[in-house]
Amino acid sequence: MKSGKPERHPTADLDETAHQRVRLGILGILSEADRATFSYLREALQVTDGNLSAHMSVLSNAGLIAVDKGYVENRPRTWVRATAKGRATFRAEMDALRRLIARHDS
Amino acid sequence: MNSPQDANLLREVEGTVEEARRRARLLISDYWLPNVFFGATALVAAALLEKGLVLAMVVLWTVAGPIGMLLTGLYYVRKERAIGVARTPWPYALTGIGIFVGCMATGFLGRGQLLSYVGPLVVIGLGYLVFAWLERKLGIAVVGALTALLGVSLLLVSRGHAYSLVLAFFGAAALVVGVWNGFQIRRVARP
Repeated sequence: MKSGKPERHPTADLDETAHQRVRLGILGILSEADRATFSYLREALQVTDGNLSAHMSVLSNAGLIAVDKGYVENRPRTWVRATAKGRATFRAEMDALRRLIARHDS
Repeated sequence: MNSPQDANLLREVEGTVEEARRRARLLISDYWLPNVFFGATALVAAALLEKGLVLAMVVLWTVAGPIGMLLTGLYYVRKERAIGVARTPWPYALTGIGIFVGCMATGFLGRGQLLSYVGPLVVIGLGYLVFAWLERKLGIAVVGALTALLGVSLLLVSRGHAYSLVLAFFGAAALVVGVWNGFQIRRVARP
């Protein structure tokens, strides 16, 4: 006998901010590495400077990543790292994604 | 999100993200230099010990330890700048310093007694277990566990050639781990 409470659909667990291919990619890389440069993320995710900047702003405003600007051998370098909230959001997002795929496959 | 196209899109997103993670993980799982350096040093140390040159072995470790750590630190700083992705170095640096200090302390405090033989091997073994945990690598854990266990068991049975044998085992195993990792790094770094 089924309970009266309807089963929660996995899409309800998707995070509006993180559920976007590039943003999820940024959080994915930063969940493996403690930090990555803007250039590394741009090349790894194959996006333009403007596109990456826009997505980073969204993640930064949501408190999911932190951006540190500095210089290496007199050249500007931007380091990006995931916050604790960002790592937790990434894990939850990937879990929701896998549940959705499993639901389709079953 | 119910059509087969939606499912394919989800799989594609998951695949893209996992590939980006996998590549970042492979790029930063770079530990060939310290393994090759300290593996080779351990083999030379074992050979010196077999010839009865105990003082030469102590001098070798005293000189090679700081040089190896300095080289490793410089290598990681250069690599981080070159590839633009990195892990926090402090847990690795502290473990390396802990191994060096632990080996020197037990060797010195033991003064030729059992502790000066068992101590460094156990310290190296435990240090490698910490590295294995940091890297999530079973191979490194096996080298660490075997070095510590063989060190304790062989030395308790017979002190004769046991120390140099276990040291040679550690050196050879660390060399294999380092060379294998070097090949993996070259493969993933290739565009």
